[in-house]
Amino acid sequence: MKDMLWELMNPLVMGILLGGLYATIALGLSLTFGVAREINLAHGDLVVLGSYFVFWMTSRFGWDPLLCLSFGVPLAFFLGYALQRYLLNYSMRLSEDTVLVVTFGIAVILQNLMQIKWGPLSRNLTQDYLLRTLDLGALYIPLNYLLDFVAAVLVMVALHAFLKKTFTGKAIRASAQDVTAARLMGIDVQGMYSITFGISCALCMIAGTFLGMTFPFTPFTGPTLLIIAFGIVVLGGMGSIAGTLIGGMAFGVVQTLSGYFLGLTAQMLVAFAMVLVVLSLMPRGLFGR
Amino acid sequence: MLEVADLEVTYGGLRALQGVSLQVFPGEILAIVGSNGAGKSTLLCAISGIVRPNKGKVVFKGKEITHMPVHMRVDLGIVHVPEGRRVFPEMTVLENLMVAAYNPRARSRWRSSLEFVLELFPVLARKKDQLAKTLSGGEQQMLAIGRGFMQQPELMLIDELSLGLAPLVVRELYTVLKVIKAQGVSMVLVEQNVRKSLLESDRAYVLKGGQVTLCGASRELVEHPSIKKAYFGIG
Repeated sequence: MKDMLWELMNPLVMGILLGGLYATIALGLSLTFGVAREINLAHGDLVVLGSYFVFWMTSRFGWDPLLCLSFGVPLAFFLGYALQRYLLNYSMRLSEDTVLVVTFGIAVILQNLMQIKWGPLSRNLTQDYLLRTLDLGALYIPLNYLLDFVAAVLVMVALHAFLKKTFTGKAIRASAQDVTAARLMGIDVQGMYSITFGISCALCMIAGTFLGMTFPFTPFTGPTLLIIAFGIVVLGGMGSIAGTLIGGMAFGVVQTLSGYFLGLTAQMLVAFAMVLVVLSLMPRGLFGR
Repeated sequence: MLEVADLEVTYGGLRALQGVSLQVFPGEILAIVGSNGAGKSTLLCAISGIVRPNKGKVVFKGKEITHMPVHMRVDLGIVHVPEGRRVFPEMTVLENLMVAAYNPRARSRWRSSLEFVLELFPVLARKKDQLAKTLSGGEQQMLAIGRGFMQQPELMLIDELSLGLAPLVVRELYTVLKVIKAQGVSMVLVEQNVRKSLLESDRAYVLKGGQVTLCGASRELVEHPSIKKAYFGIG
């Protein structure tokens, strides 16, 4: 019995660490939905675009993936900002459905552009040092999983501080709570949406980097990531940062544990079944308001 | 200071305002009175930019603003305290006040404005770290007014200040408005309570069915036979 518990520790810890990566992937989706009620169907593909961007930079300049982020994050922010400002804000004014159609179109375009540029084969951002494992007696922790989790926590703390402490962050939260009142406070709500989408894309860049450091990716990994992110956001409640982290960890743990007990083929099935069960029992998610 | 000329607003075929013209002079309190659905709130919304008129002009300090976005009007000093207070429920009192100082003009002196507001409303100072949704109706109205002041207003549009509030709270709110007025802020009051708004204002316009039917000094309008008949049930 004791041995069995020890043996469970490994998938459990791996699931929690993996949950950090999932939460980073889901964070941007949760943010845009929480602030603008905007569902971005290209979210997963933007994450993969981040992976490919870093792949391109590492293979061209021989840089470490983490170093590429210093260019990638501002670039992704401006791309996202422009996308919202010059395209999605207009779509939102037409209807919610328009946003779905437009972002779906962006998803298809991105997938095909990535396939043209980088081909259909799977790539990864693995570095030698990432393959090391921390040996803690009964526990083996791969370094890349640990980095995923640390990055997730850092990103979330930073986002939380931005939303709480800065004038812009407060204005974004105000826009999320009451659009009309926010406008009356002198806040350019559409401008806030643009900044929010920029942040979401910057988060995609970060998520894409850590994804590539952990798993291989292809131009068509995006939709799978989108579905995982939706599951997590539903679990954690839209727009809640802590909820997203816990939702990600719940998803990761259920996945690794069911993989341990039922085999790898069943792990995603069980994780999504959990999302369905939670959603039917608590329609607002575990932490939704 | 503010001039509205021949304003017309329609909501999906329904005409809410029709040919409304009015003026607000610097430093005065103007009351807009009228029954439910007379177009009072719509008028305020057209001045602050929340609704777009399909005809007419709004001019503020000699500048036409009829089609200017809301946030740019706030930059000019037009501040609208909306009906139902509309405080941000999931933000603290302090955050509500700070986010109101978002426009650049107000942001540069948010500390001194905050000090002033917390002095005006000691109860907000005591509850400054509470979420706005935990405040009572009266406290939320104080927060809404405080937020309005944080925006560095030159013209304050206040919709239904006293709706659903105890008389004591209403009296306190009007006292504060006098203090804010003394800082050189002009105001437009929209009130369900006709007598109160006539007593608290310098001039008044009467709206009926989206049109101005009467205007003049508030002191005289209180005595006007048709006002007495329509709103005080006497005469």
